[in-house]
Amino acid sequence: MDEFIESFIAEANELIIQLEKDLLNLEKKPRDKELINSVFRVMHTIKGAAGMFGFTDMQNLTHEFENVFDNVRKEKLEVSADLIDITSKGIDIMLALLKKEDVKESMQQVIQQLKNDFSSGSEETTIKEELKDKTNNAKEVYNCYCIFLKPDKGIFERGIDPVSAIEELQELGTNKIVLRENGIPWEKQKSGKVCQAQWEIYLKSKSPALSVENVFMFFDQDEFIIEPYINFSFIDDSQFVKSSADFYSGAEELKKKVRHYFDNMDPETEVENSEQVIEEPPSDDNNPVDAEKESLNKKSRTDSDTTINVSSAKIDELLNLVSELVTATAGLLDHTKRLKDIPLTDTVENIEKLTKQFRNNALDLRLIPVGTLLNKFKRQVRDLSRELNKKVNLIIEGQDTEIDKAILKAIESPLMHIIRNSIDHGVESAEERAASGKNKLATLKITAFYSGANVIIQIHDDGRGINLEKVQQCAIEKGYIQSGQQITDQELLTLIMEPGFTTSKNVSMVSGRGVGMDFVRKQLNEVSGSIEIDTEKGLGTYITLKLPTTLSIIDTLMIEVENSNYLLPLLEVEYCFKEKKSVIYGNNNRFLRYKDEMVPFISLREKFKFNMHQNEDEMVVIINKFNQRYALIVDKVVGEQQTVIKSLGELFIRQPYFSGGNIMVDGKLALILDTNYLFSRNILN
Amino acid sequence: MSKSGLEDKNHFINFRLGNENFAISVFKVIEIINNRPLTKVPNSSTFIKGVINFRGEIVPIIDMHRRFNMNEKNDPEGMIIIVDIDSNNNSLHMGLLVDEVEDIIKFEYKDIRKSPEMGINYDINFVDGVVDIKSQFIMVLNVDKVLNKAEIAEGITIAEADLKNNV
Repeated sequence: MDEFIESFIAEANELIIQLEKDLLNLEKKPRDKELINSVFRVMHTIKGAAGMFGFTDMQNLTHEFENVFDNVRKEKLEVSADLIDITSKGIDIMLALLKKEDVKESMQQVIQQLKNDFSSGSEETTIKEELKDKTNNAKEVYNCYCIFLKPDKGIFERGIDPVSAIEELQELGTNKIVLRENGIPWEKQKSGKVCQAQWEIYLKSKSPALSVENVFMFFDQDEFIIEPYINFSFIDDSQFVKSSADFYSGAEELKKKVRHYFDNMDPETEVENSEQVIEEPPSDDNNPVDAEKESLNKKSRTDSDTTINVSSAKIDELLNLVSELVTATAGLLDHTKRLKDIPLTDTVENIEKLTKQFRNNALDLRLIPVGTLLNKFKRQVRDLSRELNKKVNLIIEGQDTEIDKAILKAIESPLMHIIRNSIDHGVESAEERAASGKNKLATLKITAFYSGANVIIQIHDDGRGINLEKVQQCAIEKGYIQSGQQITDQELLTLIMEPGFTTSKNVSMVSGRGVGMDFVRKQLNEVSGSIEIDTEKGLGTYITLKLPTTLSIIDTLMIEVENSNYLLPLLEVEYCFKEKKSVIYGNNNRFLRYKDEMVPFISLREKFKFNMHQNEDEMVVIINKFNQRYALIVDKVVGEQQTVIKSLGELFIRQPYFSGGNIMVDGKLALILDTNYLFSRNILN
Repeated sequence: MSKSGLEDKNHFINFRLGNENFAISVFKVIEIINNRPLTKVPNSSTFIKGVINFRGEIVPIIDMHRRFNMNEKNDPEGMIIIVDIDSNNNSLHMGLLVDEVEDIIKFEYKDIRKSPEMGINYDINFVDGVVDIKSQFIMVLNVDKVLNKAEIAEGITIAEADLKNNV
C-alpha cells in the first residue's frame, strides 16, 4: 500500500513541477490557451489521484483551483498577477501536503481567497454539484463505453479499492453498474482483503476514451477492458439503462466479443468508432480541448515510459561491481598476454574494451541534466524580483548538460545564494536602469556547458557590477588588507569569499549577512568545484562555477614516495619540475623559488616519516589552491590517471592526509592526498 | 544463533601466529585470502599493515603479530582472514594477517577455560579463554576487543600526534 502512495507522491511531485513551469510561462503569456488548459488539466489529474489515495485536503484544494482555471479557460476570468501569486501559494501548500505537513490553516486561507476573489459567481461548483451538473446535462456530446473490470485477487494489497475507481467513473457520466460478487458478499471480500468480484459498467460520458482509461491508471492492463460502445443509440437515461440491462443478460458473450474486439482493433480506429456515437454537432469549446487533452496524455505517457526511478544505492552497487570487473579483466588480460596465444588475447582484449564501455555507461547513470535544478530557480527568481520590486528576465541555457546528481544537489543552495546576490545587489531598480540608459528589464542569464571533463555553470547579470572601491574600503576596515596596499581586482574579488565579509550595511531577508560567498566557496570545494568572479562596473557580474562532471571520477596525477603511489587532484597541480636536493634544502627556510616567487614546500618523505633517499634530485609538484601556491617534494611523478574515487570507510574518518582511495588496473590501491589538509595544516599555521 | 543450543558445538577457524594457535568464530569470517601486496598508510600505527582492495572495498589489514606484541617474523606466505565487525548494523570489514590458517575446529562454549595470565604479553582481554583440543591449547579470540573499532581507527590516525612532537 505504501508503495502505491509513494508512487502517487512521486507522480504528484512531477505534475507539480510541470505546473510551476506552466504557471511561469503563463505569467509571460497570460492568454495562451494551451498553458491555461495545461494548468487546468494538471489540477484535475492531481485531484483525481489525490481522491483515490485519501489525500482529501489535496483533493479539495485542487478542486478549487480547477474551478478557477475552468473559468479562465472559459474566458470568464483573466490571468492576473494575483492569480499567479495565489496559485504559487497553492503549489507550496500542495507540496507541503504531499510531505504530510500540517498546513490546514494556510490552505483554508487560499481556498477562501479563491472563493472570494476568483469565483465568477454562479459558475462555482462543488464536487457534488459538478457531478449532478454532468449527469443532468443530456444535451452534450456523448461517447459510450462498455467497461469490464476484473481486479486481481490481491488488489487490496496494492492499496486500491475498485469501488473508488467506479465512483470516479460516476463523475464522468451516467452509468449502469453490474456487480458480480461470485458468491461472496462484496463487504466480506473487502474485509477479507480478497477480491473476487467483477464489474460490468456501461457508461455514457462526454469524456474521451483516454480520460476513462485514466480512471484505471492504477490497475494492470489485464484487469480491465474498455470498449467504445457504438451500437445503441439513446435519447435519455431511462433508455440507456434499459439497453445496458439487455446487454447484461448476455454478459458472457459480450465479454468474449470485447476480448475479440480488443485483439483485432488498434487504438486509432477505436477512437474513430467512438466518434460515430456523436449525435449532435460538437459544441464550440469542448472538443478541441478534449482532442488536445488526448494528445497531451499520450505524450506524458510516453515520457513516463522512457524514464525509471532507481535508488542511488543500486547504482552505486552496480558501479562497484563494474569497477571490479574492469580490474579483474585487466588482470585476465595480463595473464593472457603471457600465454602468447593470439586468438585468446584478441578475445580478452575485446572483453576488456567492452568492460570499459560498460563502466562508462554505468557511470553515466548517475548523471542528470542541470536543467532539472536550474528550472527550479525560475520560480524563485520571479518571487524574489517581485519582492524586491525589480524586473528581471531569467534566461537559462544549456539545460541538457549532464552532471552527477550528488553534485547538482550540493550546488543548489550555493546557486541560490549567487542568484539572490545578483538580484538584490547586482540588479538595479527599473528607474535606476532607465536613468543609466539600460533596458528596464534586467537580464539574469544562467549558462551551463561542458569544458573538458568539467561542467561550467555561469551566472551573468547585467546589473551595476561589484563596487570594487567599496570592497577595498571594507577590506581595509576589517583588516584584511592594509590601507595603501597594492591589490589587484582579482584579489579583491577573492576577498568577497572570506568568512564574514559584507559591504552591505543593511541586513535584509534576502542577503547581506556576509555568510553567503564564504558558504558558496565552501560548498563548491566539497564537490571539488571552484568559483571565479568577474565584474565590470555598470555592466554586470559574471560568476563562473567550475564543477567536475561526476564526484566518483577525477583526473589525478600519480606520484611516488618510498615505492608507494599517491594521487593528487590534477585540477590543483600547476607545474612539475626536477630540482637538486642541495637547492631545495640548502637554505634554512622552507621556501623554494618558482617563477620568481618564494613558495613554501612540504616534503612528503618527511611528513610520512620515511628516511631521505640517496638520489641527488627531487621532484617538485607545484600545487595551486585558491591562487595560493605551495610545493610538494616527492620521489617521482608517474603520470596522469583517471581515478574512480573510493571512500576509505569509517575507520579512516579521523585520518586527515587521505581523502579517498583508487583501485588501479593491477588491483592495487593508491591513496588520494588531501591537498586541503596538507595546505591548511602545514602552510597556514 | 550460535548459542541457541540447537547445535551445541560451534565452528571456529583455527589459525597460527608464530607458534601459538588461535580460534575465531566462523560467524565473523567472510573469506580467507592469500597475502597480497598491500598499500601502506603513512603515519599509521605499526599494527596497521596497510590497506587492500577487497571486492571493490578498501579494507585495512591488521598485523596480528604486532597486535599481539609477538616478536617472531611474519611468515611471508601468510594469509588474510577477512572479518566482518558489525557496527550499528552496518558491515565493517577488516583483514587479519596471520601466518597460516590450519583447519576448522568444533567445540562448545562451555569447553572454554580461563586462560593463564602468566606468559602472556598482550592485553588479556584479547582472548576469551583457551580450549584444549587434541592436547593442543588454542586461544579463543575476542574479536570485539582485538578489533575494537575505536582502537583500530586510532591506529590508523595515531601518528598525527607523534608528528607534532617531531616537528
